[in-house]
Amino acid sequence: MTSLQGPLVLARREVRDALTDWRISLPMGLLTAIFPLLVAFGAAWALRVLERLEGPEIGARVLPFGLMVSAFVPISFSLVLALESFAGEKDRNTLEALLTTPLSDAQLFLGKMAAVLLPPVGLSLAAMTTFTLAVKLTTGRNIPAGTLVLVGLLSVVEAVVMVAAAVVISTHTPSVRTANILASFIILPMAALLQVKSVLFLLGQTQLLWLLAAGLGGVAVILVRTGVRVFNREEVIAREYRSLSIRQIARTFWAFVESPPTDPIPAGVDRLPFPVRLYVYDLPQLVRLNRTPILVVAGLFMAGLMLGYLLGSQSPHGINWLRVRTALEAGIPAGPVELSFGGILLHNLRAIAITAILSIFSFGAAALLLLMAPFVVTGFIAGQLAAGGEDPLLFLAAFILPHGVLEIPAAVLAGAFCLRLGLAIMAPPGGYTVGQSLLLSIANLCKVGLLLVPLFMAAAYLEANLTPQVIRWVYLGGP
Amino acid sequence: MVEAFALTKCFSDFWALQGISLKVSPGEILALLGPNGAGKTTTIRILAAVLRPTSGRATVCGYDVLTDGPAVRSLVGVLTEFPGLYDRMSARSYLEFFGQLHRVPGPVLRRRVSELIDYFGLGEAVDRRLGTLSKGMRQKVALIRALIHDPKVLFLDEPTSAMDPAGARQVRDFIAGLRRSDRATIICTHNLAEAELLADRIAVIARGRIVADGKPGELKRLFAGPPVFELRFTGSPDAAREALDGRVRVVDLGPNYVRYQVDDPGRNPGLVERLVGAGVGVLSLAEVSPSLEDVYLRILGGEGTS
Repeated sequence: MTSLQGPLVLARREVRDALTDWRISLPMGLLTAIFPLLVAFGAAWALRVLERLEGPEIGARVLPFGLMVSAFVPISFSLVLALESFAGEKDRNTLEALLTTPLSDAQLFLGKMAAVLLPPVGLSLAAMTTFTLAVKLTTGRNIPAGTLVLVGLLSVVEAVVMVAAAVVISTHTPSVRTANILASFIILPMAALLQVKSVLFLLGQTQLLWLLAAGLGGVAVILVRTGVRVFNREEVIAREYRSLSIRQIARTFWAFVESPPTDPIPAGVDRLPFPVRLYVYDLPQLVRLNRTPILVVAGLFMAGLMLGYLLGSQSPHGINWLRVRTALEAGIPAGPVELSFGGILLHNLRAIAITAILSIFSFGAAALLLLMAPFVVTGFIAGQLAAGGEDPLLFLAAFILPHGVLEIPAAVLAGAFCLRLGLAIMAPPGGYTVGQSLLLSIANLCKVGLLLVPLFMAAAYLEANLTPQVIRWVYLGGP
Repeated sequence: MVEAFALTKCFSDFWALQGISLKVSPGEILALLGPNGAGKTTTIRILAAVLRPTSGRATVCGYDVLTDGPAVRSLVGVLTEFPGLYDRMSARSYLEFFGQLHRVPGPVLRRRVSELIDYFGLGEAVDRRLGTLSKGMRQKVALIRALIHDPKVLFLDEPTSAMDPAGARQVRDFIAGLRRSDRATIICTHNLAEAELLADRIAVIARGRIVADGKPGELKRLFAGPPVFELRFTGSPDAAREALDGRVRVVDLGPNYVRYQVDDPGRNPGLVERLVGAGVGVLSLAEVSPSLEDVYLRILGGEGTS
C-alpha cells in the first residue's frame, strides 16, 4: 500500500459518511446554495447605493467582501466535522478499531484531516462560484481573478487552521461535549479574524489581506505540525487513563519546580538548600539551556527597533521636538502609565503576565509580538528624531539606557520563556505529554520569575528616579 | 509467536503493567483472566503495537512491537473491548473498509467477507445498517473485522460477552478451531467457564502482574488445595460431624451430605468405617472437582472480584 492509499480509503469513508447523513448534508447544502445568492443580491443592492453616495471605488469593495462572507460560511462547517471525526470517534469507541490497523499515526491524521477538509473546501468553492455567477447576472460585473484566488486561499488556510486546532483540542478532551466547549478557543479568534477580514476588504487593503493569508498559512503549518505530534495512538489511548486531578497537576508542577533543569547535577550542588541551589545552579542552567530562544527574542527585539527606526525616519509626520523640549522644561508629565516605581513595576509585570497567558494560546507568537511592540515604538521615535535632525543615539542613551540596562535583558529573558510556553504545546520534549510539557514550561517561567522580579524592580526604580534626571541633564543641561 | 518480557506501562503516575512476561506458541490459546483494571487490555494493546511499553520488550512473529508497529498491526487481529462499529454503514461495507485498510486484495476480500458472514450466520444482516443490528450480531461483525485479513495472531477481548448462548457457542467453536490453523490466540475474558473450555493455558493478572500461569488442570492442582470429597449419607448430620470432627476439615455440611478436605485420599476407607460405626448410613463417596472460579478467587486472594 502506498503511503497515500490508506489515508484515501479512510478519507473516502468519512466523506461518504458525512455526505450521506442528511442531518449534516442538508443544512450544509442549503446554506451553500442559498446564502451566496442572498449575499450576492444584498451586495448588488449595496453596490448601487454606495456607488451613488460614495463613488465607484468604495462601491466596488462590497463585492470582494460579499465573496469572502459567502466563502466563509461553508468553511465554518469544518470545525464541527473535525470535532466529530476526532473527538466523536473517541466518544463512540470507534477509534480504537482504526488504531489497530497497519496505518501509521501520520496516515491516520492525514486521512482524517482530508476527510474533514474536503467537503467544506469543496462547498466553499461552490459558494464562491454561486456568488460570482449571481453577481454577474444581477450587476453584469466580474470579480477579478486575483480576488477569487485571495478569497479561495484565505478560506482554505482558515479551514486548515480550524481543523488542525480542533485536532489538538480533540486529542486533549475525553468527549465531544468537552471538545465543543473548548472549541470556543477556536471560534472566538476566528470570529475576530472574520471582523478583521471584513474591515480590510471594505477598506480595500488587498496587500494586507495577502499578508494575512500568508500569516494564517504559517499558523496553519504550526497547527498541523502540532496536530501530527499530538494525534498518536499513545496520546489518544493514554488519555483514557488520565483524569483531571488538580492535586496531581499541582504535584507534577511542584516536582518540576523542585527538580534541577539537568540531571545528574554536579556533586555538591545537590546538598545546597533549594532556594540557594535555585540561584546558583538552576537559573544559570535554565538560561544556558534556553540560549536559542533568548537569542531569537533578542534578535527580534533588535529587528523591531530597526523596523521602527526605518518607519519613523520615513514617516512624513515628524515629532515636534520643540514641543517636547518645552514639555520637558515644564516637567515630565504623567502619561498613561504613572511614572512612579510602583506604577512602572506593575505595568511591566502585568505585561509579562498577559504575554505569558496569550503565548500559550498563540503558540508563542504573543511573546514575540507584544514584547516587540515597545521596541518598534522606541525605534519609531528615534527615527522621527533622526528625520528632524536630532541625535537618535542621544535619545536612546537618555530615555532608554539608564533603566534599559536592566529592563531590556529582563524583557528578553521573559520573552524567551514566554515563547517556550507556546512551544511547549507545539513540540513537547521526548517522553513528555503536552500537559507535562506545559507544566514544565510554566515551572521554568516561575523559576526565572525569581530573577525577573528583582530585575524589573531595580529597572522600575531607575526609570522612576534616575532616567528623568538623566533626561533633564542631557536635554536641559541640568537637573 | 508472541513473546513478551518484563513489560511495564505507566500512565502518568499509574502503573498499569508491572513486569508482564508471557509466551504464546502457534496453535496455542492463552486466556488472560483478572479483575477489571488488572492490565489485561493494556497487555493486549501493547502486544498489538497500539500502545508503547514503558519498559520491557515484546515481539509478534519476530517483529518488535516498539520498532515494527505497522508490521505487527498487519499480522494481528484485534477484537476490541467495545465493538465500536460505524452505525451508518452496512456490515459488508464496514468489513470491506477494514479489509482495504489491511491491504487485502479486492477479490480475496469479497470472498473472505462472504465466507465469514456465512459462517457466523449474518447473511440476512450483511446489507443492513450496523446501527440496526442486535448486540450479539454487532459483536460478531467486530469479530469478523478482527479476522478479515487472516491474521497470524488474534487478540480477543471478551469475545462472547454480548452474545446469546447459541451465538457464544458458535464463536467458541470457531476459536477452538483456530488451534488447527496454527494461529496464536490470546483471549481476555471474565467468563471462567469459557476460559477453561477454550484455553490451553491460563494467565491470571492482578495489579499489572501475572500472579499465576499454567494449564487449567495445573492451576487447579496448585491453587485449589487438598482434594474435596462429598459423602452422601442417611441418618443424623450431627452424628456425621462428630465422627469426622478433628480428623478432616469439614467445608460444608447439609442434611444428607458432608464435604470435607483430606490431604491423603487413602484415609477415606477409614473415615467411612468410622461413620458407619457411628450409625451413619453411607450412600456414596466422590471427589468434587474444584471449579476454575474457586481457583481464580483463591489465586487473587482478595485482590478484587470480576
